[in-house]
Amino acid sequence: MNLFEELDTLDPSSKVVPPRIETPTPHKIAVLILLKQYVKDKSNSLDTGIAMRPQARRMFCMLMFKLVQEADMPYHELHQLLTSRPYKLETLMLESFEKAMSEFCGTASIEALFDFAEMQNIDTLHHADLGVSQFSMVGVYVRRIAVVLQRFTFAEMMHMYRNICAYYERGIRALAIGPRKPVAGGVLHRSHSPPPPPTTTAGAGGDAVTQVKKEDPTEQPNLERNSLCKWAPKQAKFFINKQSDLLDHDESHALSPKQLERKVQEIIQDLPLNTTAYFLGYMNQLRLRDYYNALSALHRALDRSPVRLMSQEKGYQYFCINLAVLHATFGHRDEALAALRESIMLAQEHGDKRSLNLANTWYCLLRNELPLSYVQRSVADISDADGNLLQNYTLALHFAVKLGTVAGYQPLRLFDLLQHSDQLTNRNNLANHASEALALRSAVWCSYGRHELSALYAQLLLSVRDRFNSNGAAGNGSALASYALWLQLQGELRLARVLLQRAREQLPRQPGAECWMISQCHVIIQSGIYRCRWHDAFKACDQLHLLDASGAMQQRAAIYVAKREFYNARRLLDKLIARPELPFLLRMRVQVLLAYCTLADGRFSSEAVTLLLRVAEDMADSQMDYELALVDMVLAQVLLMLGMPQKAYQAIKRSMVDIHINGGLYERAKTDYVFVRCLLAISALEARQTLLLKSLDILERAAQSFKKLSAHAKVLDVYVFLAQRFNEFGERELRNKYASEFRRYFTQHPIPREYLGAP
Amino acid sequence: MSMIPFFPNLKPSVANRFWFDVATDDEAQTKRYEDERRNWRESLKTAATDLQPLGKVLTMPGIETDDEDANDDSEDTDSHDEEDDETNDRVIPVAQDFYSADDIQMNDETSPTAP
Repeated sequence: MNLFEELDTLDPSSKVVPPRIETPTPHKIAVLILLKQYVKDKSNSLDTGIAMRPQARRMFCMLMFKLVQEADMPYHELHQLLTSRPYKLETLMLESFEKAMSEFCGTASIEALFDFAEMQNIDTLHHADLGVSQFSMVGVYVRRIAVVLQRFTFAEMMHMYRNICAYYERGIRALAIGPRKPVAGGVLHRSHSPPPPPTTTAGAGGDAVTQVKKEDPTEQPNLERNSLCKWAPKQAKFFINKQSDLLDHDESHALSPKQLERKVQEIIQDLPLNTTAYFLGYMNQLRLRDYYNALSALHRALDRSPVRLMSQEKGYQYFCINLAVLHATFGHRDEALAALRESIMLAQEHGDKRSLNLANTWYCLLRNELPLSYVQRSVADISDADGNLLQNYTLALHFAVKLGTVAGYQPLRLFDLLQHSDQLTNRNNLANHASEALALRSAVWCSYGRHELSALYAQLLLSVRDRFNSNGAAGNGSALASYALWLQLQGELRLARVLLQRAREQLPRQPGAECWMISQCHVIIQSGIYRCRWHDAFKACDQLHLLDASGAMQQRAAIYVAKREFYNARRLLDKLIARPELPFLLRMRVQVLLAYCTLADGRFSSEAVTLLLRVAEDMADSQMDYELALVDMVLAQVLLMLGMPQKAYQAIKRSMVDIHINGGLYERAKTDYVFVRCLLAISALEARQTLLLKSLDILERAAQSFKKLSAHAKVLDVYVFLAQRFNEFGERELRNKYASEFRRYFTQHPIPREYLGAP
Repeated sequence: MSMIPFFPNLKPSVANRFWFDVATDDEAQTKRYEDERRNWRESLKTAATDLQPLGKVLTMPGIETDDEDANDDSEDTDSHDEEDDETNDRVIPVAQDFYSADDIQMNDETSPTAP
């Protein structure tokens, strides 16, 4: 590589002649020998009339694609690939390949290589019926190797031959020494390792060896990186594209940071003029959240990238956008906006529409606003546009839906936008956007109170993940978090923990980790509230505060309410209400909590009730039926307290259906309990006893639900209520039964007196 | 004690392909190399056809000119060149090749893989 080549790369528009073709490596020669065996086999099968199995032919074609596109591998790995599923060769072909290789490197001398490089030999590979087409990917691969081999001088041929022999010998030695290790091949050169075949090593000793060898693959690359394995531009391009895609969408399936860094260094060493490799290095640093290294990697990538391209000034606008993305990832909002402003200026200067689009997108995302006119274009305008514009538009639609949900718009309009976006994604097969749309739907349903539907959508997304082929992993984090919280609310704490663990494995770092971290905090807070473990709940609130300050304050107020420290709760809620940009749902809930504070104290105030009614109106406007039902339940309790049982009964009847469909276990049990109390309150004195006996199983069920949630205070409440009522009606056995249940439960879970008897 | 909505991470991808889009046409590059090779091999057939072999060349009698200098006997006997130059005889160009391209093994100085 000389200086002129380097300059050409930075300014490719001036140079007409493309860069020269890479030297073939021994791995490539081995691949060609394999291809020759296949062609021979195929011609044999045509001669003898015994057709090759279509399955075998298909797998061989897949194998060739894999070998041509992926990085060079040492001979023993190639051999392992050929002898393990799914690319296992038929025995005859494998034997003839091994024989050809050993003849090539052993018995025949350099003449073998000369013969191999002959035009006639190469032409047999391009044979019309039996071989590969000249213009196919594999055909071009073969031609490129042939064209370089033919120009070799004698010295170069000798060198090449010696390399091939060394490559083969090393491989044979490695195969002879180690037992067949399914892991060794899978880890190094492939990002998706094929499922390992059952290990053939028998005996206890084998296990120890496998354990040791498992650590070895990470050290092996240092030994394998020699002059025999080199990255070709095409292989590098394939690898970089795949990894950058994975890093963007599904980080857990990309290579681990260390391995990826090693590969990037290899590519840079072999192909120093390849610019995308530097960018992949930058992305790797970015995912590790290493600010200084990421910044220097970005600068290095810029240094290496062409500024002028195809007689059109590329300019620095993309660099500015990438800088803005870097700052945004680390949360430096002002620096990011400043960089975006600069990039918009540069993009306008250079008339680059695409980068202007991208810069505008990021600008809107960072400032959390979106001009409505942008999303009101018709579908027809966008369908002709190129892929990037389309993706941008879909993203804008999703963002508009998110903003609308947070602001509490009419859900009908939001679902219109979602439908629009679905049309576009399905027409254009954008898997990522499709999964994002599913996650977004789940969030929208959740905001408007249809929690059951939201949980269904989350489950749908998680179960069809495989169908998306890890391209559609965008919404996974939020789906996992949402479903985990839902499971916890249904009382399945263990399942919730399993899901959160899974999310932690998939998204180990920020910013993807935010959703499951928030979910985990909420899970702990809820669990703490149910069990009256205030200290744990407060600690989780502190953690939540770093991620979502308003949500944390609301939860803290909820804990105070549960503790019956209404003064503290009210103080916090007033502070929270004064904040300007609260999401609509949060604002509603805060107001309901405020009203509850006043009413639960036992002091009735008309202001509180007016507040509740006003909130109920807002909720009805936005069609938040479930929240409305919760308000109704609060009203029912209040009315019961005030001695208006009929109105209370009406209120609770209104709300029961919604709460039973969409509510968590606690809400359902509480509704049942309030319902029974209202029922008893409205009926005549004589009928009360029979009614109570009839509703006994409802109350038992409620008590069971509370027990499942470990909501000890509530369990005790139910037992106390039952015992007291039966005492009033003179049912001594039942009274004693429930009194003893109470006593038993109290001895197991002693709850301070002050937490019992909450309305 | 209710569900919190969890929104997915809405972001365009970090990698901008357009920054690095340098289209490499493998087919064109390979074809160019193959054509070069073929042309070089073809050119070997007609290599050095414009050179004269050693020895006396066959000449055709040219147009007569009344030039006194041409018929003068010069004193130098080894200056054949001068005489040849002064005559108007034309040289018969050699049209057949004496060597076939396959016999020649020439080192290609413009080897593409030279370090």
